[in-house]
Amino acid sequence: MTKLKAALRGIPVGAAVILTVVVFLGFFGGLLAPYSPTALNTPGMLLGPFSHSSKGLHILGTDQLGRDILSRICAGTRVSLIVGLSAVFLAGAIGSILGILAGYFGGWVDTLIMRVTDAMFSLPFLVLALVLAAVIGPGFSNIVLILGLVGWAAYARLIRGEVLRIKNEQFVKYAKIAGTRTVVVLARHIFPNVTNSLIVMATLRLGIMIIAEASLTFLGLGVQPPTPAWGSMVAEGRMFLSTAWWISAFPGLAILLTVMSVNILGDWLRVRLDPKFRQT
Amino acid sequence: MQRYLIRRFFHAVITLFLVSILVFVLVRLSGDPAFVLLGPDAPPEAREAFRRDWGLDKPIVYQYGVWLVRGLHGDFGESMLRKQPALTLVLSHLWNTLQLVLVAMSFSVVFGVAIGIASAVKPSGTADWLGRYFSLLGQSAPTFWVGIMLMLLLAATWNLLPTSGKSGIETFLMPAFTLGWFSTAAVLRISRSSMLDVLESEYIKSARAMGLPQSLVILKYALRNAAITVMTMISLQFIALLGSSVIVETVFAWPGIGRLGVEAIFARDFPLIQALTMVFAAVFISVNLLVDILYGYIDPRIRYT
Repeated sequence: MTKLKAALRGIPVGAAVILTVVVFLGFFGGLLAPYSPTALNTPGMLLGPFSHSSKGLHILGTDQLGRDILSRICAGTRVSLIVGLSAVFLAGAIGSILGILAGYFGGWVDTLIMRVTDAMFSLPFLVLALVLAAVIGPGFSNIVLILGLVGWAAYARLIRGEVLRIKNEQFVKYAKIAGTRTVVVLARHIFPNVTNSLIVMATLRLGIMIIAEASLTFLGLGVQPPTPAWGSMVAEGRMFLSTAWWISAFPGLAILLTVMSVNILGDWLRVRLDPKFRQT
Repeated sequence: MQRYLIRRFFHAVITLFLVSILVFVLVRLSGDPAFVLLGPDAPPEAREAFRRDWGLDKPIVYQYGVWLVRGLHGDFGESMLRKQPALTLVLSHLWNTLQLVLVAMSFSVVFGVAIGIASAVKPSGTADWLGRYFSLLGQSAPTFWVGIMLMLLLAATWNLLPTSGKSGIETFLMPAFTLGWFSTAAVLRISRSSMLDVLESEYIKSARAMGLPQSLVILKYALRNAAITVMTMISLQFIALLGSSVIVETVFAWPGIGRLGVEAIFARDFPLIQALTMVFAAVFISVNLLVDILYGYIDPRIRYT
């Protein structure tokens, strides 16, 4: 118990609570939602917050098809979280593998990988994602693939720096002298020492991924209807901005709160795990 | 300096060439414009005729060759969607986007650098607090939502500003603010941390020890050395702003290349997409080149790499 308390020292409570709620909704959102997120109820459409329809009280109002906004937000949590986490995971995996290879082997492997990384840095994230979305097509798993393929560069650069630092340490040299196969050296000695930085970077990038998914869905290239997603909810609400502002406002607020909590917790985690990242 | 510049220029040209090949291939993999533009009900002969008209039935290497040669003469073909020469279409839209990006960037650089430096010089002061919260909000709020909320407040509810399009100065305000919002946060963080690093260093301490006034210390010495990191950040921001312009232009119906690009991609308008990408790539590569030149100028050590 005391170990847990020590580990969680200084954690920003507000952000942690919000994020716990979000994750909880991500798992059980569909079940917990007061009303069905997809059932149409046209007579009850475009009702403002705290209004009543034949179904009951709608705390956040209804959209243009009479669907309860709160329920749709709860259901949409899954999409944002799962896509965000998977994309971070994929990008992190690609980036760390390439970074380790570049850092450890040096030479032309390093130069090649670094050139590609530089090229990826010089093109805007969203534009690349857009072009890939046009080629590969929209949809849940495609989006994860696209975001992963576009976002690995930051990880590669970071991990490569770490590996350059680690590979000159004593224990690596001893392992090599003892004749350990390269693969084993990489897996057993190098990799575990980069995980700290990897986790910090992942938490920093999770917010970006969540926003990226929402942006692509907003443009129509992400998750497709009828799957509820925060980005498409904001897009649908554009037409009704002057009459029913809540359709766009609340899903966007959900994105804001989620990403903000992720960023605050990420900052806390960074300070705890890796003094190199300290910003003060 | 001479050789450095020549090498950088050479790199730039090669990259441009590689990008053109990549785009050419990718775009042709993305779908059939005949399908999209003629509709799925069109008879197959109509689609065949369409493909023949646009030269899409020839082998891909041949298509690329033709495109390359014509492109070098400035002819990027005609947009399938709009029946106008692709290059002029792109360039006119590009100017609109550049105007928006420049306004947004000035806003974010001025604000970001000022608050960043102020918060570094006086940690835990008002500037620091303001900077930190603004930075967090800036990074966490999705651009499209900020734009829509601004539109809701300032245009729909209070009727202060027009909702969309590009006409007078008022139309610049909301899109530029939305675009610059995310970027200000990043510039702020980097100026602050870079300034903090510099302020710790030996020569600043000795300048202070010698009794130089604080303002002189900051302006003359600290700033110059923090400049390199800030400049890298600014060039990165320029690229990020061009990327975010896609979203902002869609939200505010701004006639720029971001919105043009989205339309082109949805319609699989090959010539337009290619022209767009080449222009985009040319812009980035020139920006990078410019920054490299500036580096060489500011930090003499780099000229020898």
